[in-house]
Amino acid sequence: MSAREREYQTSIVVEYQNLFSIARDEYFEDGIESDFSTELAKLFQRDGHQAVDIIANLLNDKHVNPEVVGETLRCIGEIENADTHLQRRLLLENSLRHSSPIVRDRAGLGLASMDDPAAIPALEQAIAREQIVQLREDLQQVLDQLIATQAEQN
Amino acid sequence: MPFLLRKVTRPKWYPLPWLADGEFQADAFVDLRTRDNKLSVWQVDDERKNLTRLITALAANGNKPDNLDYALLDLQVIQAIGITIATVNGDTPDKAANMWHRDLVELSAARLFDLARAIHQHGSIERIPKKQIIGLIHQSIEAGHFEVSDLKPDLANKLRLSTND
Repeated sequence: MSAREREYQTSIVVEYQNLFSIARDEYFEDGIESDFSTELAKLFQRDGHQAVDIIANLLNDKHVNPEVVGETLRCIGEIENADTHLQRRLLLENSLRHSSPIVRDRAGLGLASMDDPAAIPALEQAIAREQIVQLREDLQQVLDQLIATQAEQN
Repeated sequence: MPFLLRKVTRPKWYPLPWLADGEFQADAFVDLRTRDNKLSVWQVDDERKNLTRLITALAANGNKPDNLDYALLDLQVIQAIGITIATVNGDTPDKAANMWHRDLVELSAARLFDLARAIHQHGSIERIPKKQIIGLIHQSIEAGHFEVSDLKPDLANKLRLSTND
């Protein structure tokens, strides 16, 4: 990679970092598109696979607010892009192991949006290890949906 | 006895492991954001016959299809706290549902805390999944509860609805 390419890569990552930083103060509400998710969707459209990689790294940053992580995961699930489908699904599945309950819930909602029965095993495992009863119920709701989708497809 | 419904975010009411018995998350107050010391709620009849229509109206008021989380609390519990309830028309695409809107008024910080505690102790907090919400919005349009043109353009686009539907 040339110095110019490296510089460009760094500037993209900074762009995402800034967006995540600003989002800390935003209020997220179900059913309402947030400014953050609108901007994130635009970046995603521009960067594709690279966006998922950058986001995956940012989600591991302990300084990122769990609510922002959660909104990111919902956005990841809502994006309609076949090329990155697998990469996005795996990111959501991995996030089912996150230490924050709201992040685990949002990962489940992201998977519900993707509606891909391939996520069934990961959800079953997440439900088996989940300690919070209400969150287990919410994940079970997603699992039931994906099982129904699978039955429709067969 | 009827119920009052408030749109919430279910994870903010999860009983997290570090909470003591009877405690709830401080983040729950984000779901009870007041304006002019008022809180917007919706009345559900005692047999919950208007619940589905109300939920659909609330979901149809957004700009994207999404799950809808709500807290349901017995009206009697709210009255016992001493909270005053005012009838004020709501603002959803469903005109009939708008008549079920109420404002909890003259809320002090102490009463708001009592309300949050009552929701935690006596309320039920439910989630309607996004896929079901999408079906409900389509059904409401077919039933004539509201028209596609009443929806926000972003929501109509995401539901792939046009004004000819």
